[in-house]
Amino acid sequence: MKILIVEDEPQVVAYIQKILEKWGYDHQAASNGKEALRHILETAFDVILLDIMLPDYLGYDLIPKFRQIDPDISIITMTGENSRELEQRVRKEGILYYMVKPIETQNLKLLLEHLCKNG
Amino acid sequence: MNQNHNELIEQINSLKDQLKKKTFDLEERKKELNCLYTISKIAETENLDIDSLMQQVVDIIPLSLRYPDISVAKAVVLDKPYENRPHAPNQWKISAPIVSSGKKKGELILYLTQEPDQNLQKPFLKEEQDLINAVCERIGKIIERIQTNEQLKEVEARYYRDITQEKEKEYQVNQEKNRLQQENIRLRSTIKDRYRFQNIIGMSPAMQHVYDQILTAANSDANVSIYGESGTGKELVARAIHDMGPRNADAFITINCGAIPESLMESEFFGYKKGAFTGAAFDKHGYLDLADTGTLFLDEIGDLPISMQVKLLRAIDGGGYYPIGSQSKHTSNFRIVAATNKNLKQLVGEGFMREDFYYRIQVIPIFLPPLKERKEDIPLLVDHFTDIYAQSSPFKKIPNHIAAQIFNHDWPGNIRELQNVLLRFFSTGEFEISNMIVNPRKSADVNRSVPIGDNSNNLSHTIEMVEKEQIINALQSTNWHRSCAAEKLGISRSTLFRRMKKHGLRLKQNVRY
Repeated sequence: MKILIVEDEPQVVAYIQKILEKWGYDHQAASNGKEALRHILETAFDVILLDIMLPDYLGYDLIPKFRQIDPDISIITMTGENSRELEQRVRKEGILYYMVKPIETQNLKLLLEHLCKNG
Repeated sequence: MNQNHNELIEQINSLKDQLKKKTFDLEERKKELNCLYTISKIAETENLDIDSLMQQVVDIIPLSLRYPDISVAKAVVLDKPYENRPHAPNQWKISAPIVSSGKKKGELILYLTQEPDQNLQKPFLKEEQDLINAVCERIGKIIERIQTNEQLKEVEARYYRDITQEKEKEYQVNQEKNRLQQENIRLRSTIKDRYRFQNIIGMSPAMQHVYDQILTAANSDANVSIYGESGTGKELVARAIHDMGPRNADAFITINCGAIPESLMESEFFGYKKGAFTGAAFDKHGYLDLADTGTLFLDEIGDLPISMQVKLLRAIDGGGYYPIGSQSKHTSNFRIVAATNKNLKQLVGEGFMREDFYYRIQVIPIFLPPLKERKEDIPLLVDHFTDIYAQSSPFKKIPNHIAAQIFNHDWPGNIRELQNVLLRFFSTGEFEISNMIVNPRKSADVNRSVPIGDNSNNLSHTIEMVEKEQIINALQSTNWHRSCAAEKLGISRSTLFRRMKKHGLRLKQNVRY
């Protein structure tokens, strides 16, 4: 399964890459929305780990653009703040999971395993 | 005798003088009367303004005086000067004030341009002073009348202006109200003719019926269940129900029940409190908290575990729910729209769904027809996707021979499958439906399909076709997740990639626009 990490904080990226490696998933990283769109145009990803606060876009504005290129892509959003309003706004776009940092490692593992099994 | 004669002559002369004087006086009186009469006439002029009044006054007064040729009339009213002819002021003058509405508004002055007859003691007669006094009194009243009229006109104008504005506003509001009412009627009554509803596309009778059902659901708060094969647009229907209903300003929470691991279900639906378990670093909002006053869209409701169905039913029935690690009961006013491609009644029969849960979630059932049952909508859908995808593609439209195949295909994956096929075409130029491979850049007769079960006796060729079909099936069933497809096929990822390359099965890779 191919996973795209869209996150501008290098430590977060490094951590996610480490755990994805451990679980045996293909992964690439982009540090902003524009880069992420470029990646998705070139490669077929199954899951996007999407940071909401990117330097050039708000995550929820990117989601429709991702879907236009790949309607079936699964999206897991990440954010540092636990705001009910933000979560409602993000979920309006239709996401798989809403993760609040620090990364919910165990939950992410379960999600990805479940996704792989059931397509 | 002579003395009497002289006396008589003297008497006659004296009488003649008296007569002359009296005649002269009468003439003067006549002129004065004429002057006043003329001013009165002027006062009756319609729309008389002060300028016109004063200029006429100063022009006619000198004619009424004893010495018209050397008399000058000058007036100042409201600081504005009027004169019948230019002349420098001198000491041979009389004047009278012009008073109107109790205030002095100006002055009328008469001058003689040269010294009059030396026999006279004063330049002007008492009668002339009386005249201009009378004239000024008359002018004062006329000015008062003119100013009052002007004020009245202003008030009237302002009043009518305000009224007009009010009336205009009222008119516009009414127009808008009418327009909206018309639009509302039109939307509701011409729903039969709609080829598009919110983001749903279709003009077939089947879809018109769906639009009706959506409106019914939108006007209700009851739970809805949407039945339809995969890829028929169930989520679009759910969104339309939400957007057209009274909850449209509130949250729309989409949950794919098939994509959430069972171990995460409870914390996802109900949330948890900080510290409830290891790793619970904050208070998490559950789906029910988030969907309070809004809509909870449960896609693939058939995949919801029984344990979750029980708990959810309790919450639906007003029994509330408990976030993990919390002692306090939460309640939420959420409306459920569920969707499934399964036969729920069958699931109940097989024990995968509780009967009470089943009845609670599908108060309003909506059935979405498969694409093959509404083929007349295929051209509309193709146009819709072409509009989106052709923009950033070297290909601008679907070639005719491909369009025919699109129409004839049954689309087991419905609109989702159609969308993916079109997306692939506009990205790569390859048109691929199930086990048919067509390349639009080659000529038509080379694009003949080779279905399995052909007359060909070539074993290896048949094996290759079977392999290709297997690979495509595995890819489609795992949403083109190639690692998962490889697992399903029991081969390694690298083997799968090689086989795909061999069969020319490329995704959207290596495409730069």
